[in-house]
Amino acid sequence: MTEHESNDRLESQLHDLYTTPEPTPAFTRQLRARIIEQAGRQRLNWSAKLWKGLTSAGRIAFSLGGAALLVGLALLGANLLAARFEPEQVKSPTLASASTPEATDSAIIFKPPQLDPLACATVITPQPSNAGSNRPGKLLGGGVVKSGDFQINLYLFCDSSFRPESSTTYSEIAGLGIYQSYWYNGPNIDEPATKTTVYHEGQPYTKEIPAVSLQSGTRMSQKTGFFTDPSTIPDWSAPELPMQFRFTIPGERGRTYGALLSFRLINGPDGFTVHDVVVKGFNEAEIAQADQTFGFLPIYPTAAPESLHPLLDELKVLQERQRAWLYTDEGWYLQRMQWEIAGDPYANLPLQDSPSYVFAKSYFNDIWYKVDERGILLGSVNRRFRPDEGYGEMILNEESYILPKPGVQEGSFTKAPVFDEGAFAFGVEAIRQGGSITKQEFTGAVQYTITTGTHATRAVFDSHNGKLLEVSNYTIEKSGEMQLYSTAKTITLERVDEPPPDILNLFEKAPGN
Amino acid sequence: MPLFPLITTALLYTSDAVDLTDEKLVEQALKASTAFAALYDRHVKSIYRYLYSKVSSHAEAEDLTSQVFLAALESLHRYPRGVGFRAWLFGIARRKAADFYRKRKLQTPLDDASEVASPGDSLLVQVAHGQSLQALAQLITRLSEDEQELLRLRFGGELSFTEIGNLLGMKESAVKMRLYRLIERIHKAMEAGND
Repeated sequence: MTEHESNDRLESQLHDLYTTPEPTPAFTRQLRARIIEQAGRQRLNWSAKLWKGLTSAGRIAFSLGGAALLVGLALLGANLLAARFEPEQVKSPTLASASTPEATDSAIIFKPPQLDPLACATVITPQPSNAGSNRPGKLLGGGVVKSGDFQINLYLFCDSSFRPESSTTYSEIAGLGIYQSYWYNGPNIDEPATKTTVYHEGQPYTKEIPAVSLQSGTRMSQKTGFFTDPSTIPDWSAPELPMQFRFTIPGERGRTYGALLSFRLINGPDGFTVHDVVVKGFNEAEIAQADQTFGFLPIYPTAAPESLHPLLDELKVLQERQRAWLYTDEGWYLQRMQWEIAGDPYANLPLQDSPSYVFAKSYFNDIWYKVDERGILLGSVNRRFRPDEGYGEMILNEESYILPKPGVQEGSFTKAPVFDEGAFAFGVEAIRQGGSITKQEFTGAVQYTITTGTHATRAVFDSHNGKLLEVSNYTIEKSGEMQLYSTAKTITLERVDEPPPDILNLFEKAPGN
Repeated sequence: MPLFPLITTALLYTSDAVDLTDEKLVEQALKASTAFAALYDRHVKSIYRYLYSKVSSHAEAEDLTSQVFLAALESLHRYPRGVGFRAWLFGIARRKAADFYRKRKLQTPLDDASEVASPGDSLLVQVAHGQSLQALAQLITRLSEDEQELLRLRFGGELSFTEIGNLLGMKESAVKMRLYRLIERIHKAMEAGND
């Protein structure tokens, strides 16, 4: 054997030696799920509502109480330069020819809440045991509990890097974080994947639901900021806010393990202090019945969204105008938007754990909404297409299934609430995160720019009827420069007698129809 | 409703991700952070192996692996272009492993003690099967920490010479030379052992 060959053999042995251990499939699956969850939460930090709006192609915004479309639809498509609802011609303020600009950059009146610095100054709490090496710093309280074979650590901790304006270490309360970890010490469990039926181009096919896998000794830990239910706004001026954080772990046979972290926030001149921290693990009855709701339960006193910023009130009024303009009766509504992607058209299906798909840099998106006599959304079908290629893909939103193109791996939405308040909700979210809203008025139109730390959305509305004319999304560079990412113009929004047969056929496949 | 749709209403997974470079996937993940999963899929095994070879405990390697990827996700916007994603990721892994040893020196809860292998308990010796691999593993334990690290990065992490250079702040040629000499030395030591 030559020296060269012998060195090759040695390298091969070294390779064998160092690549022998493999992470268990259960571990990699669980960590993957955790990463997706964390990624989703990061996304939530800067634009929860925006993405909700995105995913909810079919989650129209029809409101219950009043036979009126909920904000969404209105905003949504409302605009239409459609033939049927041809609005007065308005030049987009994004054009150079825009007239009579009148910038009114409103001051932010909302001051994000913070932890009283003194609350952290004297804290000395023993570190949690069995927490792995990802231990938090100064603990404000918490504990370790059992839920089935899981040992769960839940602790509140002080960390100045967690802040409302941070997109990566976001926390609604500056300086406050939540440490979460579990350690599984039960038997190894490998449940088989289950199957369900979905429809592709009207034909049924089988979709696999991932299996549950648990390996004894598996443990996970993460540190997150403080984040309340995004559909509520805590009343931070209240003297006391009761809080409950629900930590859940999907287990075998549909069981949900977890624990509840309860505490009180007491308001003081320099911020909040934390009191009466209690952790309780789910007992057997709770494990059998619990759902997988994760995060803060909305038990705290809440405030009216428009109290956060004066321009939010204006957005709300615009939405109401739009709703009144659009909704006439039960039946079908069609929205067509024209999309132009300026950046790379890669992205992920929200709530799904797989990247990534290029549809097109320029395409149309049709959504047919079916609404009942009370203005409530019954379901929707979404179709994207390029004029040159005809059919692109269709999505049935009633049961949140996505029907992919032939040859493309399927994906699915998880069923989410049919609720979106469009610009108003996105504005609320932005302000909650310490972002800003600015306004510019033009002849017949008004433009709002909603900015968070890393992203901005610019929406143009018809001043008279509140119709959304155009939405542009930007990323904000470190230099502060705004880079256009995508633009969507509403081409049509109208009530239609009935959708085309292929759309109707797909809609009728939805369970319950 | 797509009131403020960001991109489009439904984006599906295709095999496209398989062909994309790490840099491209990072770009995607910066726009839609769930795209980070593709980077995770691509590198989780090598990160785990590397950490396992450092800490000699499955549980700690798993815990550190989760920390590495969660930290990478959180700080992805600070990823320095041009360094190479793998080199950057292994940099995080090295820091996490260093933190692990630092914290373990400061505090080792009793409950955790059984999870951590004793210092003399070499992973390589544990996993080596066959006489020649056993001998090789024993030999490696006598190398300096820097030399062992070089082997871990090259053979456990499967990093290129350029990536190792970026990570350790060395020129590619220097990494190549150092590794070549190291393998030569091991080779000679193995031969001497066989004689």
